[in-house]
Amino acid sequence: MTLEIILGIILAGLLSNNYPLLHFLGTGAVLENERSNKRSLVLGLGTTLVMLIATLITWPINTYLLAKASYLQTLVFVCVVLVVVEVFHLIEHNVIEKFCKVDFTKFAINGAVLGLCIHNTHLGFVEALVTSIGVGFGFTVVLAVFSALEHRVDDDAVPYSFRGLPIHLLTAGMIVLALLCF
Amino acid sequence: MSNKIYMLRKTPSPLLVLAAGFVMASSSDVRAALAMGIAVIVTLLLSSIVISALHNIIPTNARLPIYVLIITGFVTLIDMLMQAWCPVVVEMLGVHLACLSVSAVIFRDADEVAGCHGEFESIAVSLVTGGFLTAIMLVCALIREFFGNASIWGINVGFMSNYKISALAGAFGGYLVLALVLAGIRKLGAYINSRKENA
Amino acid sequence: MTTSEFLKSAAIIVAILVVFGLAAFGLNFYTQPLIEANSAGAANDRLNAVMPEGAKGYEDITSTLTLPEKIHPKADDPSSYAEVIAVHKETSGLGYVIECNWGTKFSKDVNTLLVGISAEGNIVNINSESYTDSINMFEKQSNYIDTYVGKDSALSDVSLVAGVTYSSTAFKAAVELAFTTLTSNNMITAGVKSDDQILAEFIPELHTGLGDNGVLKGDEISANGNIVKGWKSKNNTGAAYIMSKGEAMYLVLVNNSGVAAVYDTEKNVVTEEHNDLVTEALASFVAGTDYSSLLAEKLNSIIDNVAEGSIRMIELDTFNKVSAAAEFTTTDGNTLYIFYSQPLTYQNNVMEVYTVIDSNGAIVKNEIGTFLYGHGVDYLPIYNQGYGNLNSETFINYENKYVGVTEDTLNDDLLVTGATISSSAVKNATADAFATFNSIKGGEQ
Repeated sequence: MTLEIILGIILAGLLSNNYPLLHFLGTGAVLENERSNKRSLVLGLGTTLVMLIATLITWPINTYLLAKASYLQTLVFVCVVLVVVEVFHLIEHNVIEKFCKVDFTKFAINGAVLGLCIHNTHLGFVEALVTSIGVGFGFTVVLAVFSALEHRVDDDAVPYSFRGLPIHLLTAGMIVLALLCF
Repeated sequence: MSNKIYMLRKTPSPLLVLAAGFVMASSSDVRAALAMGIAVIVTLLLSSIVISALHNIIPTNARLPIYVLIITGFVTLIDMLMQAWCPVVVEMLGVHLACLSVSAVIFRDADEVAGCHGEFESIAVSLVTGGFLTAIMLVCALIREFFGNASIWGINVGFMSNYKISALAGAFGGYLVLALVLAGIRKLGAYINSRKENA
Repeated sequence: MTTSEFLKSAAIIVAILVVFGLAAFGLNFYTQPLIEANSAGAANDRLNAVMPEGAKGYEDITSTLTLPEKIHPKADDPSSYAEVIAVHKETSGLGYVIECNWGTKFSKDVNTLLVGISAEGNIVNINSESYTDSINMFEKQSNYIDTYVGKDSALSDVSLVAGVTYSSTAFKAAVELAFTTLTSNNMITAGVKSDDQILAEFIPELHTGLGDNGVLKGDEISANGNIVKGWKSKNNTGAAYIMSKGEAMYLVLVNNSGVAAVYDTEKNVVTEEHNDLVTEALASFVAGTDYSSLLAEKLNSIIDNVAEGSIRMIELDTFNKVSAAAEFTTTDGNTLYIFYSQPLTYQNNVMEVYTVIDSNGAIVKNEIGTFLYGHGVDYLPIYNQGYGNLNSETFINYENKYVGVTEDTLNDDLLVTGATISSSAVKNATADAFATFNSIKGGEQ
């Protein structure tokens, strides 16, 4: 695996393989408003870390243990994600909470993590790890962009029916249009 | 209860923010929307019943993993049945069916309603929530499939095939149509409210 | 969290996992066979669509066969091709599904066809999996694929679609190649071409007025008396009839001058023996179009020294794109010939070409009455249009390139890139004018 491919996968995670915008995974977390930029960053990077560790564990489990019982995939993957988040919570909460408050359920209740773990089972191990970093970065960027955008949408200038979620969806749609070029 | 019904008037509610992901993902085809809707209702219903039955013995600190695992268990079973009965739809929904198990909507429903109320109320709330989401998905899917793919229920609509807007079937269409449908619902809600006040 | 709470939570989690794990395990006994059947079914669905009901399963036998080589069915389009990519055998012996690709310069590069052929060697069905151009094809001739269903490798009565010649030629070539795959590997026996089919295939070669690059083009005439089938040219160059006499079938060609020739299935000329067929064909043909005044008028406008009253129409004895010919003298005593031909171009539109040849066989003037060029609905004469590489100025140069050309120097340099079809139609018409000229000169000697 060359550097070129690694950069390509990471760039794809940011653009053409963007989970929350193009694959609708983790969109809920992105659209949820009332979040400071700092919290978005922590949430995004934390999710990236969870994605990486979860992939590190689920990929071997899926390849070596679940080959004969693929129907248990979801159950096992969710367990792994929960354990990872819980351990992450125990180890890191003192460090992060000094920085800002983060709801740890957000890491677990996120379709992007589970979706990524399932998608990654179709890839090679190293490729899967690089993909999870790329997708995590993509998620972080979208979170940050969105929390910044939300402050700038002037609700008074929007027709009543479109205020709140509809205008945010349209904003996201426009970003999607740009991303679709890749 | 009244709260939940009120929620329909005031959509977009926090509910749709959390559900936006799978609503948009499954609204490109009417079949997918219906299947997803059924999966959501069944998951909500079963997990609500189990959680509200167990809520007295579940320690508060361990709510998250226990709720999520119960939901995941039901999603796994539903996923298996759907793979057996309607593989076409499962292929369309892809990973989103599995991701229902970590969907914030179902978790929130379990956490806020089933975790502290009785079975009957939980059942009613899950039916309202599931029905509402299904209706939104179906409306979006009808629009997106008809105008974006020139078909309904996978059957081609001949005269539309030259006029279809392919972008509507893609990711962008998901955002656009959901936004328009929500705005439409809110307009309707405002209209009904004003009628009520005048009457 | 206290220890007891922790233990309680852990116990509940383990219990949940065990319950759902067991439930999933149990359910799997029910769903697993269904899921496996579904995935096998999905792979076979596309093959089942072209096989009779009751197909059991398929075996890919591509690697065990010698596949025919890729062919290029249209000589003037090197990008046209047809090839066989896979062969599937139905396991219970119902037949074979052959996967072919075709493409032309006017279509998508890769169009995939699934041709289902029964063990007896007849087409069960054809499925065009990817089509853009073929949609056009099917619109032009509704149920085009239906004309193939049930046919054996002779493909009798299967025609090409006028206006979508390139695509339908490649489509047909792909189907023929599918048959070749099976016949050359001795898996089915080849069908036998009927006499009328053999005769119809002679027409584009023997009467180029009804043929365009080896494809029969004409308006069909309904059967009548001994006439089994017939085609009237779209460009006033005559007609072709397939006629029965006793057990045998004959091809009768008629040109615009009302001269006829009869061919048998061996491509031998048998006009003398079958004058009755000639009479019947000419009765059906009625009469050709009289171009004498048109030619006279045109001559006076393009040649300035035509001797008055010298124009004499010549009866044609060739069967090609030339629909009228005349001999005339100029005021300085030279004898020249003019040939009027109407080649077909894009989507069967008719162009006009007037070729003036001197008695030594060199072109004096090649006047193009209407040069049609372009796609879609606007077939404009391009005198003042800047289409392709032919604007009005280069168009005059293009006409002048023909001056002095003889039959030996008529070559591909006379084609125009960007207007290949139209300019090759002019070139083919000129070649036919030379053929007619040679026939006239031959007759005189």
